[in-house]
Amino acid sequence: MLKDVGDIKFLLPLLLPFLFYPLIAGFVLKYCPKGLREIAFATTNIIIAFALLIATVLVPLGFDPILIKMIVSGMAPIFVIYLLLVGLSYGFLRLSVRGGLYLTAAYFVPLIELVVLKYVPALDKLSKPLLNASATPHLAVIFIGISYVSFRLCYLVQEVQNGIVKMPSVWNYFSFAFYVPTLTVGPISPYAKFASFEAPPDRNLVPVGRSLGRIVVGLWKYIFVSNVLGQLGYTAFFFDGHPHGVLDLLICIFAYSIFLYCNFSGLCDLVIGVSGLLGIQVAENFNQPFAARNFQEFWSRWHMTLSGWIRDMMFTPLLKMLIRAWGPKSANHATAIVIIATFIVIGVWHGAGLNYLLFGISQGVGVAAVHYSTQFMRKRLGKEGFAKYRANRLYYYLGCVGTYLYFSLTLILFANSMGDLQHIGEVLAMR
Amino acid sequence: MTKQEILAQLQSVFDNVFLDEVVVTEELSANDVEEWDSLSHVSLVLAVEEKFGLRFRVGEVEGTKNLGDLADLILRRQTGS
Repeated sequence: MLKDVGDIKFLLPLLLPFLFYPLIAGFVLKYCPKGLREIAFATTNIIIAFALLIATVLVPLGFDPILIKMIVSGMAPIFVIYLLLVGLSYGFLRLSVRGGLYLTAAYFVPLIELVVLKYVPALDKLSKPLLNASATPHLAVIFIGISYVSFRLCYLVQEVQNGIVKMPSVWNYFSFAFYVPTLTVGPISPYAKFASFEAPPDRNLVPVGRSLGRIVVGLWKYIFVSNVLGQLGYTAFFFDGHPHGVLDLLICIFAYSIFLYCNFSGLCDLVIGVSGLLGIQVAENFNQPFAARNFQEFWSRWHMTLSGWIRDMMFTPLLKMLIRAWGPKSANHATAIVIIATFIVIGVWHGAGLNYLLFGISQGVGVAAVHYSTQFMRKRLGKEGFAKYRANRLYYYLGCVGTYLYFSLTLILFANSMGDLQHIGEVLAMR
Repeated sequence: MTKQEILAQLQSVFDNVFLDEVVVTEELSANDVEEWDSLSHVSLVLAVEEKFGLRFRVGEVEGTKNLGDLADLILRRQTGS
C-alpha cells in the first residue's frame, strides 16, 4: 500500500483526516467565536475534504509541484460541482417540510445524484482527459465519499421529518456532508449523533481515555494486522505469474475476510476515536461480526450503519408495501424477495461491477436461507424445542463457523473483479 | 385514549406477533426481545398500524427508543398533532 514508508507524503491520506484534521477542527470548535463557529467548521471540512481528494489522487502519481498544480486546477471545478450538488440536496431538504412530492424529492435527490455519478458510464467518457491525466478510473472517485455522503444526506431527511433532529443550518449541513473523518470510509452515522458537535464535548459519552484507546486499537488493526494479512491476499498469490493450487486459494479466502475486518473496523475505530476526542459522536459500525450464529445476525453486526440504513430506508417500507398489497399470507415469501432485493442494492452500492451484483445476491440468498430455515425450525421444534436449540452451545459454535465460512467464501466476489476472477481460474488451471 | 390504554393494546398486538411471551413495559425495546429482529419488526409495525388505524412514515417507528416512546407517538398521531 505504501510506496515508501520513509516518505511522509505517502501517508497523507491517513494523516490528513486523522491527524491534521482533528488538530485544526479541534482548534476551530474550541476557540472560534460563537457567530463564526458554524461557518469556520464547515469551511474546515470542505477545504480538508478537497485536500484529501488531491492527496489521494497524488499518492500513486507522486508529489511533483507541476503535477500538484495541474491536478488541483483540474479537480477544483469538479469539486465545485460536488458542492453545488450537496447544496441542491439541502434545498430539497428545506422544501421537504411541505410534505407530499417535496418530501419524496428530498429523499431521492441525494440518491439520484449518487446513481448518476457512479453508474452512468457516459460521464466517465465525457471526463476522460481529466481521468487519464490523474490516473483516476472513474469520475465518482473525484466526488470523494459520494456513496457515504448521499446515504447520510438521504437519512437526514427522515430524521428531520420525524422530529429526531431540528432542521440543520446550511453550514452545519455542509459540515455533516463533508465531515472529514467519515468522508471516505463511513460509517453512515446519522445527524442525530453528529449534532453533538454543537455543544461542548460531553465526556461521559465520549471519554478521552476510551477515544485514545480506540485510536491505538484502530492503528494496530489498520496498519499492522491488515498489512500483514494483505501479504496473503489475492494480489500477492494469484498475480505473481507463478502457478498456484487450491490450498493457496483457501489461504487467500480466509486471510481476506480477516484482512477486510481488520482494515475496515480498524479505520472505523480511528474515526470513532478521533471524533470522540473532538467531542463528536459517531455510530458504531461493527459488533463482533464473527460471533454471529447465523448469516442474518451477521449482517446486523457487520457494517451496521449500512445494514441499518438499508433496513430503515428500504427493507421495512418495501416489505410493508408488499405485504399490504399481497396480503398477510404472502409475508413469508415477500420477506425473502425483499431480502434479496435489499442485498442487491448493498452489493452494487459497493461498486458498479458485475462481481458486486453477484456478491449482493450471494449475501441475500444467505440471509433468505436463514429466514426460511428459522421459520421451518420454529414450526418443527415448537416453542420449547426452539428455545432449547437456541440455548445449545454446540449449535451456536457450529453456527458461527458456518457463518464465517459462507461469508469468507462469498467474499471472493467482493474482493475480485470479473476479470480478476477469470485470471484466478486460469492460474488454478495451470496446475 | 391514555398512554396506559395504548400500552395495554400493544400487549395484545405483541401476543399475536411473537411466539414467546413478551411483557409490554414502557422501557421495553427490540434489544430486550430475541424474536424482535428486522423481519418480525415489519409484522409488528403492520399489526400496530392495523390496531390503531394509522400509517407510520419512513423511519418513524425506528426513531423511537422504547415502547413508551412508541405509545407517545401513537398518541400524537391519534390526536392529529
